[in-house]
Amino acid sequence: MTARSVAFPVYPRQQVRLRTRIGNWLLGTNAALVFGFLYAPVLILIIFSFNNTRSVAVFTGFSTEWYSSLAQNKELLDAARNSLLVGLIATIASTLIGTLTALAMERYRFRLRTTFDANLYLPIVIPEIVMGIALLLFFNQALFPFLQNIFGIRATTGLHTITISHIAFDIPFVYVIVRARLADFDRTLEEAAADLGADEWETFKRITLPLLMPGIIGGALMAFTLSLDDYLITAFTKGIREQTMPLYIYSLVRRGVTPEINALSTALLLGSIGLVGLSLTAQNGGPVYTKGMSIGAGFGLGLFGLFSTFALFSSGEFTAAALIIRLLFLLVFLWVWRSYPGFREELGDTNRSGKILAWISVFIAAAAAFLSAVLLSS
Amino acid sequence: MLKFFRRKRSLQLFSLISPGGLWILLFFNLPLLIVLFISFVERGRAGSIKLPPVYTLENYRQLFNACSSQFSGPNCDPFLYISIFGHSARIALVVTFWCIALGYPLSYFISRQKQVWRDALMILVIIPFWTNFLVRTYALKEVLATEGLLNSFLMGVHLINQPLDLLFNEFAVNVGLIYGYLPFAILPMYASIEKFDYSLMEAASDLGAPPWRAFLRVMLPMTLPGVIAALVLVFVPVVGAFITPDIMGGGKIEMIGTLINRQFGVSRNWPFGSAMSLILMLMVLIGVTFYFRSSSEETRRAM
Repeated sequence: MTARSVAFPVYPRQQVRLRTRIGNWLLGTNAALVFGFLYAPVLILIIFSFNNTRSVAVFTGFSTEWYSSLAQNKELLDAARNSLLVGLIATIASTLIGTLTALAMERYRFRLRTTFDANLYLPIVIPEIVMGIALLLFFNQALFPFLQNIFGIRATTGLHTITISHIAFDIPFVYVIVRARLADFDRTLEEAAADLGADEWETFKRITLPLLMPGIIGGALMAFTLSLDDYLITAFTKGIREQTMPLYIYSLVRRGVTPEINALSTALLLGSIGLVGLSLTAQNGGPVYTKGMSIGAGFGLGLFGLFSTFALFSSGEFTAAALIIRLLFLLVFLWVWRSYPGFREELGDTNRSGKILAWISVFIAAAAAFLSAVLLSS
Repeated sequence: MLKFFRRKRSLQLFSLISPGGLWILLFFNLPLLIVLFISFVERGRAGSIKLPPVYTLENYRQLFNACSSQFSGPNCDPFLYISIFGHSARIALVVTFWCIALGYPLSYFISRQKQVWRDALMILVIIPFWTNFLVRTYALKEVLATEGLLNSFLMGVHLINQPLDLLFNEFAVNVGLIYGYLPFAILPMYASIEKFDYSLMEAASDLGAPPWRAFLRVMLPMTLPGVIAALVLVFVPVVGAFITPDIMGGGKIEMIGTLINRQFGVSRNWPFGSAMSLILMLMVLIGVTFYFRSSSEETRRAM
């Protein structure tokens, strides 16, 4: 660390101190105001989700009635299930495709390479509404008439068109993140593996893929979040019946302010904290308490996975989709479990306040993840 | 077979690139071409296009003369669409200004903290990125509502007697957009301020520069790439925004995004909506090209 205090020898000592003190005070106030502005509405939303009346201005008493009315809202539960389904398929497909594209662009030279690269950035920079209407017109004016006239297939919009569109806007994000990771890649490691007798496939499996993994997981989490949050493109490619979570929230928000949205939003907010922790850990960066966040989130989800799998078997209402979602929770848990020893080791090297901060984030993230999982799947 | 595959680099390349290339060509480039096509044909009765297609420049001309359409009423303002574009650009400029004006000092503040605090504060900046945009906008709407917390607080302390109209006007849209896009401004500015070497400020002051001049002549120019990145990252999405003006403006504030959306909803004029979309896309691409020209590879990777 370089010395950070700035001395101003041209001014008398007293004046300098006053100046920097006022400056620091102004900077601190600005920071407090900005963070207050960013977080106050969200905190108020969480607090009023526990209000026992419809008011969003006066807190009259504690209740969880909005959460229980949420849990019985069939429209919402269907929307949540659709969102998860679309999000999972779009994430898996776009992560695979985006990673392959990044490998091709980084490792091979070919004609029109820079044009193709620019073309892959385009979906990120153009306004969402333009992509939304483009897909709307494409499906309704080109693809469906084409299918009808050539193959005689009557196609309509629905969850499948939403998924196709989500994959299309997720691929560029995965591509950018994985490619950034590939650019920092040390190719001599691959050469060393080849020198030691590994064939191409083995080199890829044992060297390239593990080193790329943080980028791939980061890209997948990004794709999942984008897909889960997208309103605009979904609104233009949706069918008549099925809707997703953002579409449902949007219809509620346009209708007005109700505490039910507060409860739903709180559940989603808690889930996003877990996602932040996971993404930071995936990118192998950050201090020890970000790892704590992700480990906590993993434990919370894993606990929920165990708990709900047990409930699933005892209730007898057994479906394949329900089981797959629960298995995914358990997979997250196992993935986190593997990084737990590293977390403990790193914790040993930090000071006391760091340790306390880390454990606090473990508990907050665990509670957040568990609660949001319970709320979203009840 | 496998040996053949291993030897042929072009085959490897093809199998790696074709899934992504085809998906993007089919579900991104082709749809954009269809938008381009539809923007040059005449509107049909039900809002979609006239078949067989009749080619026209009318949809673009309408931007400069809103009354040229046969569907326009008697009280028609010919500059309606131009004014909506101007309006959007003005809102985007105001929002960008505030995002930078609030974000730059904050980035500076964060970069001068101890490592632990710096990381913690940056996580607070990052969390909104991963939070549902609708939920955040809704949270703000709830605070600003007529019966919302802010109004009842101000009335409670007798600062005002009647609730203020904080929603469904341009102020609300501006605040909503600043709220939504402030993190986008902070991240690139922080990335370049964090790398700034503060000993240069000491050098400047040793040479007799007062703090404000040292800032203007040394720190600001060296952190300018971050500021330009923030400018583009905020201006570009804000100028085409739809969700915030729709929710915070309550249908009263018209921006390019809501105008386009209306052409595919109640107004049912797909060709005109397509033309507007292409003009919006062109505006955004000019901004992005300007950014890529002016910024170095290094700052782009810092984001």
